[in-house]
Parts: sequence; C-alpha cells; structure tokens
Amino acid sequence: MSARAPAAGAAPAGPVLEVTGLDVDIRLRRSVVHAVQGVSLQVAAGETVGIVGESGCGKSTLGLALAGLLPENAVTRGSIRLGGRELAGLAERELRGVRGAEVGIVFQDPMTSLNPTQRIGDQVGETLRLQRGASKAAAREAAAEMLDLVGLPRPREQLDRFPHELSGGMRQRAVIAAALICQPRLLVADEPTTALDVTTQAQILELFDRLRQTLGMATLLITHDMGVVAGHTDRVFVMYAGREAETGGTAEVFDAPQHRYTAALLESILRMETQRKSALYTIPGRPPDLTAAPAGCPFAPRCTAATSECRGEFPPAAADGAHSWHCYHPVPAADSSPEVTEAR
Amino acid sequence: MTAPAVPGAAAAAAAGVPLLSLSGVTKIYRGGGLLARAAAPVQALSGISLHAGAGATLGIVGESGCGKSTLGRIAVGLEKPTEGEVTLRGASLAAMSRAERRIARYAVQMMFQDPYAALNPRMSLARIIEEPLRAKGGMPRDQRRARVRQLAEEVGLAAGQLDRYPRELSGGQRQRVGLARALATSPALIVADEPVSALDVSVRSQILNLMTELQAEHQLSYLMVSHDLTVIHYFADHIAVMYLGKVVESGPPAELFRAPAHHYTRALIDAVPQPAPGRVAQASAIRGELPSASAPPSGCRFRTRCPAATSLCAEQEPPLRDFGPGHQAACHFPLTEPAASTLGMEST
Amino acid sequence: MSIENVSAVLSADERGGRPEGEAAGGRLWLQAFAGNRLAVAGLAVVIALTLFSFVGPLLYHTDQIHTRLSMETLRPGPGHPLGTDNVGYDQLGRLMVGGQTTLEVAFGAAAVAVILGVLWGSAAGYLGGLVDGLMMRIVDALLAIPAILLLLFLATVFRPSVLMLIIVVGLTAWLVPARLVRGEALSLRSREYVLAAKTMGVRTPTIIFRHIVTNSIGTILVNATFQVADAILVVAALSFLGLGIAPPATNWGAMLSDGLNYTFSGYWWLTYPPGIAIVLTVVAFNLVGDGLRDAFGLDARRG
Repeated sequence: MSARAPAAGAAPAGPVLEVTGLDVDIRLRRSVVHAVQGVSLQVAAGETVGIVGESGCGKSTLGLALAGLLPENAVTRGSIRLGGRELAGLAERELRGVRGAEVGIVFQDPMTSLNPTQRIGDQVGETLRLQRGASKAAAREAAAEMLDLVGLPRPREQLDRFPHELSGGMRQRAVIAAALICQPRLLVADEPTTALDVTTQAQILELFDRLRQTLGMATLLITHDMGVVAGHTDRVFVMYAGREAETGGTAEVFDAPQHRYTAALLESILRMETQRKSALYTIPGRPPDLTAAPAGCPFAPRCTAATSECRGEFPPAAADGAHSWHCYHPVPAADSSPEVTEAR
Repeated sequence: MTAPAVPGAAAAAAAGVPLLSLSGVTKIYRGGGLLARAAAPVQALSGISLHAGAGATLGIVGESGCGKSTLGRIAVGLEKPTEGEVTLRGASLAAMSRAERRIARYAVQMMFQDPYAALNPRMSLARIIEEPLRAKGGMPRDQRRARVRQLAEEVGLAAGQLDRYPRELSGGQRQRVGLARALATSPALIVADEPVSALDVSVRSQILNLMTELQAEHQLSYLMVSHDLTVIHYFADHIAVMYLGKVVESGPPAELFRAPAHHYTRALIDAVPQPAPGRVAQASAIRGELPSASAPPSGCRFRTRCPAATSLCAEQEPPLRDFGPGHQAACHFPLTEPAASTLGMEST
Repeated sequence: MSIENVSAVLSADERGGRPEGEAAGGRLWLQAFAGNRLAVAGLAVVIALTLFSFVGPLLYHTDQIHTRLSMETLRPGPGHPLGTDNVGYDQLGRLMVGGQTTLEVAFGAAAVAVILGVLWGSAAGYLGGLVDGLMMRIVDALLAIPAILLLLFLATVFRPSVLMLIIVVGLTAWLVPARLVRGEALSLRSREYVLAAKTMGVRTPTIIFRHIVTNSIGTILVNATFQVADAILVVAALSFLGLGIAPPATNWGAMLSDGLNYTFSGYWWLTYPPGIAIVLTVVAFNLVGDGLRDAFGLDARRG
C-alpha cells in the first residue's frame, strides 16, 4: 500500500468539504453558548484554507464539528458534506468510520495527542488497521513509509519507540503521519504548530506544504497566527464571535482587508517592521459574550466605524469575486489601515 | 520603615553600574531526592554574563531548552546559581545575609507567563495585589488598600473589579493584575517571563503599551524572556540570543536583525512567520532536532544543526567576539565580519 | 456536569469572561453538587440522622440511665416503637443516644484526622526533598502497622471515653489524608502563583496555608466525608470487640454487638435498627463524598 501516490480515482467534481449554514450551540447548566453561527465554507482538493481568529471566535469548535468530536452537550444545525456525503447528524458509529479514513485530524499538543504507553509504529498504523482492515505487517510497512514521508529520520527505528523518546517536533510529525496514513480527503489541523518552537514550527509548516503537493488532500488550517496563514494558505476565513467576518484569497484579504475586524487585527499584529517602542494599535473593548446573541454585527461595540445599522441586523455578504465580507462599512479602498488608537 | 537600600545603591546608580548583573552564571540540575538517580545532570545555564541597565529592557530570546526561563528565575531569586554571581546594583546577593537578601529582593519582581496559572484562583484581585505588601510589612491596612486601588488604576483595572476572582477575568485582564502585583513594592526591575505569549494578538498590544507606559513613568527596567522574536525586537533595548544554555549572540535589536552574525540568530529570524503573503517563506536552513541538555554537543553547541559547521566547531568552543558596539557573537564562521579588534573577548 | 467538562469546551474568553451567573467566590462546585441527586439524597440522610440523634431525644423522652429488668426484651409495640433491649432500655431512644455518640466520635475523629493529615502532608509536599522524604517515611511506617492492632492497643491502654475514642481513631486515620494532601502539595508547589508568592517574600507557612491548602480544599473535603464514614465503621468494630464506652453510654456498634447475642432468640429489633443505621449513615456519607468528588472534578483515585 504505497503512501506516496495521491488517492487513485476520479478527481472530485465539487469541493471536498462543503459546509452550509453550520450552527453549533453548547448547552451549559444555565445558558447556551452560540459557539458557531451560520458558517458556510468550501474547501477544494489540494487547497489549504486557513481559519483564523482569536480565542472565543469559535474556530476550534468548528474544527471539532468537522472532525465529529463535539461533546455531548453540543447541538449542531446545518450541513457538513464531505465528498458529497452528509456528516451532520450521523451517529457515532458511522462517524467513527469517517474519522481517520476520510478526515485526518491533527491537534495542537503532540504530547497529549499520542498515547504514551503505545509505540509510535502501532499508533501510526492503527487507523489503517481499523479502517481498512490492514494486517499488522502491512500497517507496519505503511507506517514506516508515512514516517519517512513526514521527514522522520531513520523511520524504521522510530516505529518501536515510545512518544516520550521523541522531541516535540518529531512527535507532531508522527501525529501527522497517523492522520494521513489512510490518505483522507480532508485534513483538519487545529493549531498544529502553536506548541512548538518557532524553528520547529517552520519545519512543520514546510512539511504541510510538501504533503499538500504530494498527497493532494484538502486542508483546513485553524490558527490564531496571521503569519502562519499568510505563508501557508490559499484562502483564508476570518472568524469573529462564531461568525464569518471575511473570506477570500489569502493575498487579497491581507492586501485589502474589507471587514473592520480583519483590518484591525492585521494592524495590531506585531511585525518585525513595527517601529520599536512605538504606541501599538489596539482594538478597544473585549470579545463578546457568546451566551448572549445580540442582533447585528458582533464587532459593532468595538468598531470605530459602527452605526445604528450595524447594531440592527447581521450584515449580509458583500463580495468582489471570491472575496466576500459581512460588513456595512468596509474599509475604504484608498486607506486599508484603520485609524490608530491609543491604548486605554 | 524604609527598606534598607542595597548597599551602595545611590553611588552605583550614579556610577552607571548596571542594575542587575549576572557573571559567569551556571545552573546545573541533578536528579534529586533521597534516591539520586544516575541520570546525567542537566546543564540549564553555562557561564552566562549579562547586565540589565536602569530604565532599559534586556530581552532574552531563545527556544525551549535554551535556559531562558531558568535565567529569569535566577534573576528574581527563585533559584540560586550553581556557579557564578548575581549582583544587584553592584552588591553581590550571595554575600548578603538572608534578611538583607530578602529586602534586596523587593527591587526585582516577576511577571508570569500563564495568566491562568499566575493568580491564586481562590483569592480576590484585591488580595492578590495586596499580597506582596503584606509580605513586605510596614504598611497599615488602609495604606495597603489605597495602594492597591492606585495600582489597579495604573494598570487599567476598574476599582469595582477588585472584589472579583481571577476566573471572571479574561487573559489580558489577568496579566494586568499580574503587572499590578509586580509593581506593588515599587521594584526597579521586573522580570517578564513570556508576558504576552499566552494572550490573543489584539490583547498583546494593549499589554505591551501598558508595559511601555509604566516603564516611562517609573523608570522601570525589564528583563523580558520570550521565544517570540517580534515581541523582543519591538520591546528590548538590548537582546541576548540563547541556545542550549549559552548566549550565542547579543546586541542592539536593529543591528542584530539587520546583520545577524550567528547562524542560529539568522535561522530564528527566518523562521518567524510574516503576515505578508507576498513574501515567500524562507526555507529553513537549520536541520535536525535540539540535542539533549544533559549531553550538549562538544565545542559549539549549535554545530549539530548548523549549515556551516566544520570539524573545528566540534573541537573548539567559539569565544564571544565583537561585531560592533555592544554587538557580540560566538561563532567560528559568522555571517558577518567581526569588528577589527578581537580583544573584547568575554569568557563563555 | 462537572467543572472540567465546562472548561474543556470553553475558555473564560469564550464565555465573555463571565461565569454563568455565579456569585464571586467559587460556588460552581455547589451547583454541580446540587444537581447530583444521589449526593443530595445522601446529604439529606445525613442531616436527617443527625437531627434524629440530637433533636430526637428532646421530643421523645425515654430513660436511658436506669435499667428496668422487668421490661427486658419487649417486642415493638405501644409505648416502645422498637421494643426494649435486654436491660429494659427503650430501643428507639437508645438508637438516638447511640447515634449521638457515634456521630460525635465520627465527626471528631474525622476532624482530628483531617487537620493532622493536612498539616503534615502540606508541609511535607511543599518543602520537598529530605524533609518530605523523612515525613512520608514516618507515614509509611505507621501505615504498616495494622490499624486494628493499633486501635486495640490504644483502646486497652486508655480508658475509653468519647474524647479518647476521637483521639484514638483520629490518630490511626490521619495517614491517608496526609498522603493525599502531600500529593496535592507536590503538584501545586510549582504553580506560578506559588512561585509568585515566593518572589514576593511571603513566608513559607503563609504560602502553605494561603496557596497550597486553600487550593486543595476539594480533595480535603472529599476525603473528610470518607473519614467520617470510616470512623463510624471503626467505632462499630471497636465496640463489637468490647472496647467501646462503658454503659449506660452506647453507640450503634455497641448496640449491634449486644444485640447479636440474641440473634437466635429472634429479637430482631435489637440488631436490625442499629445495623441499618450504621449502613445508612456510611452509605450516605459515601454518596456525599462521591458527589463532592464529581463536583470538584477530581479523579477517582484522589480523595
């Protein structure tokens, strides 16, 4: 079972992943958290879409929903189609057949993603055995190939090692190998490099780029790091308060952000070019309470350009080709950076 | 009760003696306990010499295992160096009595990384900020309360929030509380260990702005430890790059980033993801994995991952050489030419 | 649903930095406990039995001092809802009085065990190193002595009274909480807020109390409830072995023990009531303990 050839078969007719109107509510003791509201997106084969936002924007919940890993107190509405097949509402038994085989998942912390008492080779090959019924020997062989593909030195030696014998970067590579061994159509990576050193992060991101070219899967890269998004995604999906704020080709969105939040976020990022010791741009206020679901644009309370219209109804999508945004007062073309405000 | 000043403080400040100075500091961790394991000792720090000046920020940047956190802890007194000396305003801490040291320590306080673990979840904000004042003593209760309110205002917390508990606050607010607590005893230096790494991007700028303001207002010095190059570049006046327990390069930020001498510094700069899609991601030049801290490579510790390593690098540890004013690096085959005079060699 | 489930799904930021309608002071565990029906039932039983034992005699007067051999072993009937025992004491009243002693000793012993254990364990865990090693080896050594033997020895040496029983039982029970709290202390001592306190120059005893112990309250509370349950059983066992308190004082264990002499005579009211009382109380405390453990999100091994 060669791990190098992209999945044989006809090129998919439509997008690999198609999410339409996804709502996820988390039922708590006395309140309901509207973690995701009305999210729609598509990812085509060989494409990497970055889902970016800060904590509390719902991106992790979205990732969990796509992986079918939401907790019991989560209520989902809307549609998630993978290769044309509807995933939302599937029973756990059927979801188990999807996870690993059709959807590969990579989480943030490689130390807790791997079972410390199980050898690497066994963990990487496990999905192949469970989902495709491969024999132990075949799985082991495939695991060795995958470990080589993800750049682990001396892959056959690593098969019999335990996770604690590997460094963080190597562990994450092993996790990626495990996620991709069944050659899933979709890879969901939730903050895959956040727990790693910056030099290791660079190596892992390079690996993702390489794998994308070799294996041709659709990738969803969930991260809070705009820099990661800029360098390694084809399209970007900006989330705020559980909703879509803006989406489009990465270069377009970064060069000419339309949604005020996107512009503000880009402005407040520290870059190497940021003038040292200068007053930094800050976004006033705090992220909203997701248990309340106020009408209108969720960013309005913090937006310098908000009007009463913004507080009325959630802005419909405005678009310019593949670039779309939900904002009544997008950033004017001439000036793509919002006013600088002092902190406090 | 006026805290007895660190001996010679005023004179030292006048003479330009650095506020905090580490000389030849080494820290070795052994497998401890009654049953000492045969595991090799871990060399967290090896011969570190650094100074932090008044009103300025010294930035320490490096990845996991470089020893920067240990450095921070030694600076603030949570750990004692195995070898070497720590001096505060010219006075050696080791030479002081326990009581004197305890008083001297109030000049250096710490701000922690994880806003969710840095505050006792069972204490109200007011009591958290008050704690250092109570420990130091000499302030009656109302005075302490007034000071707490003053500190809260300075860091941008509403007075009404003082009765709340940490769990009710966001990460950014908790870091503000951490800052207020660190400021309580009017320290001269705050050691900030990854102060914004755990915060959202948009909140980082709020806290960094706050730290800059406080620095200007109180003539504060910072020893900022971080793995994030962009934060260090923005905030520090002088940077030290660490790898596996050693300083591999140090210098002013502008120069360090414009023309790094050490290959590791170059690799760090290249590895930072830039939010500018036009820029092609640099292929990382360094290979391999971090060696174990209990068995660091011979000679230059970075040689196992360096694209320019030769056999010389395995045999001889490179000394620190000058590359410009205040700019030093330890490399046999640096990326730029060292300064004409090679006399400025500090022992490593 | 415990605290852990909630925080696993959302961070404070996702909830907008406000907990779902809770008073400042950390009462989330109270709500979780209140939602656990078994735990609340257990608590209700405990309260009921405590009221029964302490308030009961004020409402239902019987003579528990003077024996009346003419009234011995009467069946339950009018005037004596649970009959009388072999020396004429009204059984129901005896149950109440016995309950007082049982519960007093149980709560007292639990308190002694917990306080001693917390002090010892938190100091050992926080100080670490040689001190910790020494202190915990002492605990290990004491644990190696079978509790029953120790109890028998102590009970024969000291004249049994309520206070003595409390001390004796407490002294054998403190080892478990000591270990538990030491474990907590070991993990808490490297928390950043503890390090912060050290940098501030807070003195060690203050750190131990303010930061270590207060953040171990969950484990301590859970263990305390199990201590009470255990103490009841230990006292019952001691009394069964004849080392309880002298009559006319009594406790449920002693009642059970006395009553067993008459098992074959069919005087069921001498054995079942105290037996059921013991079982009920122990189970109730265990349910409360389990409920607290779930509410605090602790795993099964601790507390």
